[in-house]
Formats: sequence, C-alpha cells, structure tokens
Amino acid sequence: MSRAQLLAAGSELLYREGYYLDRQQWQDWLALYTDDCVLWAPSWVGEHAQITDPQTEISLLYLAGRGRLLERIERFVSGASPASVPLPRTCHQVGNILLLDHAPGTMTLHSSFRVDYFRNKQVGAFFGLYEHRLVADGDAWRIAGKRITLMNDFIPTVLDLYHV
Amino acid sequence: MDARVREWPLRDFSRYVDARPEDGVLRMHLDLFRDPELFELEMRYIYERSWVFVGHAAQIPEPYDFITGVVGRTPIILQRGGDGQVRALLNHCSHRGAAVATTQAGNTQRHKCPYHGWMFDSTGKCLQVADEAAGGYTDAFRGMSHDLPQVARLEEYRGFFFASLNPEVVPLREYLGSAAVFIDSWVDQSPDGLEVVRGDANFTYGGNWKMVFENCLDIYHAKTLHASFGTMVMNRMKRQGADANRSIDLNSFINADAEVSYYTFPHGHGGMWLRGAGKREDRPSYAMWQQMAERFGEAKADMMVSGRVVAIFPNILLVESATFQMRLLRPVSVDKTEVYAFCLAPKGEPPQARALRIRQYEDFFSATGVATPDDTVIYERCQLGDQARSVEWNQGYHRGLALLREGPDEAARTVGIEPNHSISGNIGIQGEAVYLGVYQGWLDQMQRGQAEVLGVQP
Repeated sequence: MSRAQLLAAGSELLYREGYYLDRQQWQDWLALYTDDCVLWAPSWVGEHAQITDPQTEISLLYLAGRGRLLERIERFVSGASPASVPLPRTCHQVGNILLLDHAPGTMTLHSSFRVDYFRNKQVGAFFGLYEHRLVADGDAWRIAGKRITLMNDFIPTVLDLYHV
Repeated sequence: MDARVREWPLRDFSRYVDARPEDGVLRMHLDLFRDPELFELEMRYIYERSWVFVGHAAQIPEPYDFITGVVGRTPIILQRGGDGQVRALLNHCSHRGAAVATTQAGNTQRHKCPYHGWMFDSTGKCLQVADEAAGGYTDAFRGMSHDLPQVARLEEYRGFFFASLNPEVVPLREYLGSAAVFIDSWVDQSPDGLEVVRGDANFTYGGNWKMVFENCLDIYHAKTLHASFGTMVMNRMKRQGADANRSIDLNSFINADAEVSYYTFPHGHGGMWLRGAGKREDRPSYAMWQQMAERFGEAKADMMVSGRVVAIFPNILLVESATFQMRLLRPVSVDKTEVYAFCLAPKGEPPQARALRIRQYEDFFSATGVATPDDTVIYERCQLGDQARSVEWNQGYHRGLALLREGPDEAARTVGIEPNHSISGNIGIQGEAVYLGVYQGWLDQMQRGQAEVLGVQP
C-alpha cells in the first residue's frame, strides 16, 4: 500500500472508532481492537511531562488486553454503576491525522481529539492527542495500541472509555 | 477579622449536631452540607485555625523542591530550602499580592514575582525590592519585612506535613493522638518508610467536602454502590483465573467471618479496621509481611496487611480498602471539592508487588477507574437531594450506635490504639456511628474557633 492508501485506511479507522463510541455501538467498537491491545492514558508529572513506565508509575488508564475493555463496557452498560446512569451523549472529533511510521502490516498514527459530552444538563469536554498503533488483519486494520495524552487531566467526577 | 463576619450573629453550632447516643439518636443537620455561610465559617474556624495536611515529604525530596497548596483559602508554598528544612510560606508577594508560584510543583532557588520583579529565596527571604535605590522609599518602608510570611505553624509527623494559621494551635502530635497508630501502620511497612508513586490523578466533585470524609469510613455502601466493581472482579477471576491481576474481592467485605472495629478520636478523627476481609495474600504489602513481623511482632504486622482507614480531620484520608490511597481534600465551596490523590507505597517493595499495587490502585481508586466515579457521582446526588429544604435532618448515622462503647476494644489494645469510642463485632455492623467522633470534632473546632476569633466565651 502507498503512504496515501495507508493514511486513508488509518484515518477511516480512527473516524470509525469515534462513530461507534458516539452511537454506543460498544461491541463494534471493541471489535476494532486486537486481543492483546493496550489502551494507555499516561498521567502527568508536572506541566509538560508524562510518566513513561506504567509498571512503576500511575496511569490514568492502563488496560492491557481486550478483556479489560470488555469488562469496562459490561460495567458501564449494566445500569449498576451510577457513574454511567445515564450514559452521557458524546461527540468525538478527530483531526490532524498524520502517518508517523509504517512497516509491512503495521502503522502508527498521530491525531488530536476533542470529545464533548452532555449529561444531566451539563456540558463538558476532554481533549488531547492520540497515538494509534494499527496492525493488518487480513483486509482490515485493527488497533493494537492506543495512547491517549489527556490534556485536561483534573477529572471532573468521571472519566470513562466513552469520554476519550 | 473582616467586617462581614463581625456583623454575623454568633452561631450556636450545637444545633447542627444532634448527638444523643444515650437516647439512641445521632443525626446531622443538612445545613452542614448545603449552607454557604456555614461553609465560610468552616473555612474560618476549622481550616484556618486547626491543623491542615499540606503534603508529604516524599513530594519534595530534594533541596529547593516545592509544591503549592492552600490552608483553608490561604495559598501557600511548601518548600524544602537549600538547608534541607521544609517551610510553609504564604504564596503572596508582599508588594501587591501576586502569587509568586503557580505550578503545582517545581524546583527553584528563587521565586521572582513576575509583576514588578521582587525576588525571594527558598526560605521566603526577600532578596530584592526591584530598583529599590531609585524608588524614593521611606524609612518606614525600609523598616518593614518584605519576606514571604511563614505560615504560623508547620509540623511533621513521620513525613506527613501539617500547617496551621493559628500560632496557638495544639502540638501536632497531641492533635493526632492515638490515630497516629494507623499512620504508623503504613509508615512502618518498610524500614525506609513511604514513597509517593509518580503520576497525578486528581479530581473534583460537585459536593460538600464532608461527603468524601464520611464515605471513606463507610463500608455499608460497598455492597450496593460498588456492586459493578464486585461483579467485574468475579468475572475477571472466572475468565482469567484467580491469579490474573488479582484484585481485592469486595464481596468478602460482607463476609460473615470478618471482623471490624471502628474508633472515634478527639479532634474529629475516625478509624476503621477490618480483620479477615479480603485475602491478605492479594495485598501487595503482604510480600513484606515476614520482615514486618520480625520488626514489630505479628499483631502489628497483621494490621499492616489488613483493610483499614484513618480519616484525620479535616482533610487527609488514608484509605486501604481494595487498595491503598492517600487523599488530600481542598474544599472549594459548599458544593465543590478538589481531591488530590496519592499512591503511597513502602520503599523497597518488590517490583511485582508494586506493579500489582499500581493496577489495583488505578482499577479501584482512580477517577478514571471503576469505583471512585460511582462515589463521586453519588456525592453529587446527595448534594442534590440535600436541597430538600423541608427536611432538616438525615438519619444516616445510626448503624452500630447500639454497639458504641467508650474506650478501646480488644483489638485496639493489641496494637495500642486508645480511642474515645469503639464499635466492634461482625463486619455486618458497617458502623456509621463512628461519625459521632467526626461531628463532635467538627462541633468542638467550630465552637472554639468562633470563641477565639470573635473573642467570646465558647
């Protein structure tokens, strides 16, 4: 595939991820990820530095394996978690997509995001940068790694997977 | 004292706390959670008179390290000077009042006020009144101290720094009293003490500060509010085996074999100690149990790997339920609270145990995790429900009241805890009556603060 084709395929996947999350198509969203995926939102240390090692430092999110994503979904749709009753309405916007790196069967994409949400008559937003590592799976691409650099990390009450 | 307060009539704070354990009644007035004026008075009479937790030594290990914070509403800098000594300075330029430090943390030998260029060293000493010579200053001005004022009192208990704006405040050790046994049970886990695991994960909620203070001593809510966490842990064990990223099984918190003790202390502190709840092998600290037992004996070592909580009034919570977290509370307004969260861990912990600790912490205690957001959302619902103006009192302090006893229980004696009251027995008590001590402390501090500030008899 050419660079342009890779960028087009990768961008499509990033847009689709937001599409599924905002429509609460959780199983479709989950299917975008590989079994051994890692979703990682490192925490901040100081104004412009973040942690580098999730095994020795605190992350905002460190979910290794699709099973961890599944259990979060099960929880927030169960109705047993007041943090997600009602679920917020969300709107993902992904932009500035750049192909950072690629090799046969894999590519890394940078992007910026903003997720606006509305719940209990209140609006809010989370914003930051994504770095997605995608791997080829037959004709499709899947997410093997998603790194979320959350810029506004003073969390107002709740942050769950649908917020980022 | 500002004019506004002087105009306020004296308040009879006892009307907010209906504590009659002898009649079987323990109720708190909802104005404690919803009255903005009462909040202002709490700032004045508790947070700006008493000891307030401002930070841990491990946050500022090196010379010139500093963190910023508040004592009540007063902005401060907690800084380790070049001499190694930690000082609490007002974050307030003597010239026109600008805060000289605005980052949460940093390392600097000098604070230069960006407004007119006055300069202060790491001990608060004013090094320079910018362009002083040409300034036509008076002798009277030259006679003034231009230094960043020090907070009236700063004392440390085993790495925990507390500050007070009240020069007459009781010594910290006396203030903590026997609640310090709980603090020791974490500090003594390692001969090298505690460290703060790097990474900020702080949060806010739209509710009164006392809600999180109460919540940390409340296991009554675990079964319902955290049901989804319990389900998640059970599913995880089913799918991945018991060894996969072990989590403390919250279902065991209602296990019939487990015992609990609640303790009230003077000044509003509360303690809770669970014995036999959750497998202690699942706690990262258990990896060091043998060394703890050799140094302190089995009774104390067992405490060090048990579930336990101490809430030091008014603003520091040390909570080891499903995992261990320190929380520093900053009340912002009657219905908004900031919570600064810290993963404290024994130094020298084996890497595998540390990694487990971190995963358990993120799972349970993070605002991005799967338990704390249910708590914070519930505080907001309480704040909403508490607006019911036709209701004066809530009833949520009665569990365990019939079991309240003066003095220590048997468990307390084994480790040297000397509480005002104990409530103990089967874990099913989930005793809320521990809040008797919290609100007696609240009342005592409010009455004393009012008397001292306004110069009247309590």
